[in-house]
Amino acid sequence: MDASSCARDAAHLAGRVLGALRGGSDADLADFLDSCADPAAGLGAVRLVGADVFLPHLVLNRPLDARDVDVVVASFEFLSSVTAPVTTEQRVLAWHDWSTARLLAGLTGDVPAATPEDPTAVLGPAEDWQRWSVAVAQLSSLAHPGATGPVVDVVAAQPLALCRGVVRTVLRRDFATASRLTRWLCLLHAAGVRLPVDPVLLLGHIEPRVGAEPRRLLDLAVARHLVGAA
Amino acid sequence: MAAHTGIRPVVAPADIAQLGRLVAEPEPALADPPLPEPNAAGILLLLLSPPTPKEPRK
Repeated sequence: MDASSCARDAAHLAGRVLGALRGGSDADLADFLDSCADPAAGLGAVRLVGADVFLPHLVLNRPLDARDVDVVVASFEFLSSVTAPVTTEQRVLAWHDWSTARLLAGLTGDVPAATPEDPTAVLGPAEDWQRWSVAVAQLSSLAHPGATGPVVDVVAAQPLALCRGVVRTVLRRDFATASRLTRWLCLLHAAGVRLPVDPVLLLGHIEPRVGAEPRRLLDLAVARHLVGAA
Repeated sequence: MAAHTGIRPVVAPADIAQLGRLVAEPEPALADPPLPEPNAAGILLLLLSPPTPKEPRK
């Protein structure tokens, strides 16, 4: 699997999901996969976008097509899940996949996926909030409307560390990481957690600066939806 | 969904590691921080400017 092809296809897929969220046609995963020059990279892209492929179904209650389910299942068959993560990247991937599999099970009525190990193993101590917030950003696909679970519980218990992390990214002008953290911030805001940072002002600051990368625009679209629903 | 029907499940540790690196995208080592820009030229002009004119003594 070519990493650059996979990243490019993931951007394309995120753009399709974003279009669906904005009222356009469905993301249509099967059609997306057919459009990929390298199907292996296309399946990798489905795994990379992860749970976000279900956002139109979560946010707009769009029906889930059986062909879309087939594509997500095929992506897990093509690249198997990490069952015993050892490295940090493997731990992030395990939680990222868990979120995808859990949403798929919720939408199809299947048996939920097994929960990975303790989330503090991937996030680390919140006292080291710079490193902690970067790990939280890597798990941004877990911060979707209606999200629950061990990672959400751990992040929701540390609003100060999260706000410090997002302010740090804004000061570094790292708006890609800032957009991923803003998603978490807006999830906490929607859940009624008191925050020392105004998520609406933060969104207004980041949106014009984040660029045109569709996956980051998708993060901000989710954040905007969460703020609107709060 | 014709494109992926020919893809057989594989266990490719290198591909899974590749996917892990893409998912766990790190923050950039050097972002684009705003740098301090002291207005040195302005201070120099202020220092070199002639003093305020005084009323001539009568």
